[in-house]
Amino acid sequence: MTDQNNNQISKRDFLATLGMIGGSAAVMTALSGFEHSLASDAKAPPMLHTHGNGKSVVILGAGMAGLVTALELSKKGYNCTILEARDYAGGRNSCSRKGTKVTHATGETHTCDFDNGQYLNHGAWRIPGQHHSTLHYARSLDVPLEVMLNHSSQSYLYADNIEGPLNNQRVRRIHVESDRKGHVAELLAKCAAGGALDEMLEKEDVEKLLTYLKGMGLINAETFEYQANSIRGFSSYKGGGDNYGTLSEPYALNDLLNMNMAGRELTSDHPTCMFQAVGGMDQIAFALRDALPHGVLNLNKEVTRIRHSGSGVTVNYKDTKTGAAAQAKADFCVSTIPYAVVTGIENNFNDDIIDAMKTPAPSQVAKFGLQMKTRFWETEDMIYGGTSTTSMAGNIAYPSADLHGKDGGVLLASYLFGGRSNNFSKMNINEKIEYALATGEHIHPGNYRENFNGKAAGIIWQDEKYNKSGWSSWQGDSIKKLPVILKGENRMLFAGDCISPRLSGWLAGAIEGAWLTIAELDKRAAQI
Amino acid sequence: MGHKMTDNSYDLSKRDFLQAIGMIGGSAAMYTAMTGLNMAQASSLEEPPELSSEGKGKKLLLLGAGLSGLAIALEMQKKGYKCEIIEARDHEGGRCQSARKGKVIQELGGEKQVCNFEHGQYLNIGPWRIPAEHKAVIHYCRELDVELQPMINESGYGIFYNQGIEGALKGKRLRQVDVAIDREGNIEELLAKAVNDGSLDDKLSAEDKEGLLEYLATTGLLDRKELFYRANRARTYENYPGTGLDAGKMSEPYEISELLKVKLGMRAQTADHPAVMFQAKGGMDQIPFTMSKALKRGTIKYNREVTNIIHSEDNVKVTYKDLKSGREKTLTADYCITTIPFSVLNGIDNNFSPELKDAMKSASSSPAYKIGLQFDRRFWEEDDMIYGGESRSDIPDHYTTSYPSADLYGKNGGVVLSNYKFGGGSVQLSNNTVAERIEHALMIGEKLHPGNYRKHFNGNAISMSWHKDKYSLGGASSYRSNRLRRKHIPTVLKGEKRMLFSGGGISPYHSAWMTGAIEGAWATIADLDKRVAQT
Repeated sequence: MTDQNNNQISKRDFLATLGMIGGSAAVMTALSGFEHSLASDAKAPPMLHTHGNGKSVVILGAGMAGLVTALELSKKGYNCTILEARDYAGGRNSCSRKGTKVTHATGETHTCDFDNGQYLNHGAWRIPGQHHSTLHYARSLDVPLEVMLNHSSQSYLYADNIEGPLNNQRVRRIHVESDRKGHVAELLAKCAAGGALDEMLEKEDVEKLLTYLKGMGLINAETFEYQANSIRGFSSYKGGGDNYGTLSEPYALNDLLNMNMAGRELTSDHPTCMFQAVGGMDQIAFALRDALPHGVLNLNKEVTRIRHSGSGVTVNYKDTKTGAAAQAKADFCVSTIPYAVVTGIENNFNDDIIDAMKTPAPSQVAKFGLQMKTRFWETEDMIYGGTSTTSMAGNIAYPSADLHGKDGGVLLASYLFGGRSNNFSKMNINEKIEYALATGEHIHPGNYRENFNGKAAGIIWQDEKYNKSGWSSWQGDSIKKLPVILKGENRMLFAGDCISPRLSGWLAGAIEGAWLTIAELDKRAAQI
Repeated sequence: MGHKMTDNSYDLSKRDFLQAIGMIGGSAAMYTAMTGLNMAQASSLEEPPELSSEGKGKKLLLLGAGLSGLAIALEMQKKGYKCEIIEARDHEGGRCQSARKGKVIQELGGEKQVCNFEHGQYLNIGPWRIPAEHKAVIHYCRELDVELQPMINESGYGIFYNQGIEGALKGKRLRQVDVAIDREGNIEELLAKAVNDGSLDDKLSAEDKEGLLEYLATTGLLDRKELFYRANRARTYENYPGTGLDAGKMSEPYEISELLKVKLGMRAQTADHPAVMFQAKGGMDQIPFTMSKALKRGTIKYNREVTNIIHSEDNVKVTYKDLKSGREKTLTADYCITTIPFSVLNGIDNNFSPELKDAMKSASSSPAYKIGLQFDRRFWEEDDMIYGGESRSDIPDHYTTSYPSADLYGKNGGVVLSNYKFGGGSVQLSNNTVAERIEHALMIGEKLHPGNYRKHFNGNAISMSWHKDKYSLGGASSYRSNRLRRKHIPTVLKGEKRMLFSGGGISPYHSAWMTGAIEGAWATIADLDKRVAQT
């Protein structure tokens, strides 16, 4: 894929990837004839029937999928070896905290200087309650989780490209949400009362609908006009004594309709409250690492060549510290290396596999955090967690940990996709900081620059040598090529979130992908 | 004390109760008509008022060590007032209580309950949630380092259970998100059709029609081209997507005519009941405990029940009975602020003016009931993916069941607020024996979580009827109508001479909220400050 194409993944595609747009199930169900899949909603690793009896497995990559594969196969007596190019375990499940080094596309190696205790989940950052597989390891390995606030009704939307008075204004999400519901309720109530729905609904249902519309608490029960209400909230809050406060005035319909952002944000897998690991998401990876038998994990080993045959696999690698070359031989190999990377390593995979690996679109994703001296978004704006969204420069996500803390906190100040993240990639560190500050100053004027303490860090995933993308996006019919990868070849299997198109970029995708792969390896091992 | 409540105090209308908890909004005009009244506090107070006077050892007697009494003592001690709090209970906090192992609850005419929850488990039997806009509460938590944690007030996976409707959804466990999304989706579809068939041509410009259709196409609920409502990713899934080729299976929306029969959860959460609120870590009573520790040693005198209040131009004399020794004693102070709930204060001998007595008697005291059960497994999380939030039903005398927000994923089970009920039904519930109360809670729970609720109940329960609590006689005090509010609140706010009235009862717009008690306290000390400056 050319850079040109990489830059032009449409907004819709990214939204779809993020679960922001519903409804592409039809495509997926059309494919349900395929054989390779685990039961949905998997809660625990598959039962393996074989015992390893010392059979050897070399696992490429110590991300979540590699760690899970090694942990489960080790339990069954397989002799596992993980080769990991980086100097830490976790892959994209990693954090920026004091001392984290990231080499940017500009050539700068930036060392994170956040204060002690401060961190940014610059990779995986949220777990929905329905991802039982992720919760399985957090629970079984005693990784404390805490609430990750994915949505704050007080956070802001900011558009700089719309008509009308809301352009270049920060507007509270709750105001937009309530006003949309309120205006819709008003219009529909008027239709219902005026007989316009009589052809669509039973008479009795029209009445019930009207009762419901009035019951929402947004419209006047007699005139059906949408009006100020206690759901939208107050412009001046009520208080002690006889102070009732003042309800805020809704936006006019035509102004509101110009605000074309955030049509839907909450989906089944992006609810208001999600979860995160206390102290950083990488604690889950570290717990998996620490549960492995001694010697399984080998860091700083960059794979240079993969040859598989009917009887085994040979992997050549280079020690990135010493430069020394070495070779690992095993009965089986599970590669969890991202497609964009593994296809650049010398291998003897068949053409169909290579073709399939080049099918999903690699996503471009940047995450960049700024440390702030005070939590002004909480004290002044009543924003606790959640995200403010701009039309021009991505999202700002507020920390869910240490709410009300007195030591400030790290904001995910720039969460950028696609071409925007590629432009960000080209900036030097100071320019990146300036870009993030300029964005935030729109949302929190007077506070953002003022409270920035000079400490920043982040990552651009497409620039990472060992990732080359945020995740793989299997779009449309491309998923038809996935079975080739799921099948693997001889003693060579593939895992990682890239084999989980519907959970791509999620921890659950990596974990359940690993579970699927070890179930497959179990079958093959039974045949030898 | 012969303060048997009249039946009148029980029959607050539903509307008043809804209003009391902020569920009815909208009639701003009515309220703005009232702004002529004086003594209004600045809105959304973030800090206590600046006081200009110095106490210089003036003696201030406070009746009641609830949140307002504590806040007043904290602020006035800073200004050099000599404060003493007379408290009838053996603990501070007033209604801000948590039940944990060893807690004794003795309702008037009721059985003695001793809480037997396992260590670390608790139930907030009084206030249980703080919205971010209640900055007065957050002020003390921040200043005194009371750790707050998210209180998850709403979970899409929480259940609506309707037994009193007819049709396909009767007796079914409906996920709240499915009902909410189906309501939205159907409304959007109907509106899209109405726009397209010209029904709104007289109300909307062509541009607005187009804008509306564009918006309706981006909510993710409608087919983007045809704009009909269909299965979508905002609803729960029948089978969740998995790895490989497992796309999962989305759930099918409910039929609109069945959906419209469901009456639960019609109203969206109000601004002061957002999806995420706060609670004090380890129990809401950590707030008064911490406030109490910040007072000068010995400020609070416990187990002292006030029996008589006589005030004059020069001082206030308060007589109390020491509940340990049975002895009576009279204290004299330069000023006295009572935070005793009006329902209780009405039964204490006093020389308040008839107008004041009338104002206090005109306030209604609302009945409120809470029962918590301890479970040995968090089945609502493990089996139902409900993390915090609540379930509701139309089962008689059930309002809400709320799941704990602390210790999510904990392996030691947890305490579920199995029923919180205020208004009418709570009185009937409180007339039950403890065993009947538990059985009623289990009956509700078994419908919400069949097969799990009884099975995992570990036998430990606690319940509280605030209207039967001797020193509260109600969950909250409020005026039944705006007419009564307009008539009486100014009288109460004014107090008389050296006697002032505070507590949640003087904050009718924050009735039953902690912020009502604290902002009430702040209003009172600002007034006291003025009076002292004039003497």
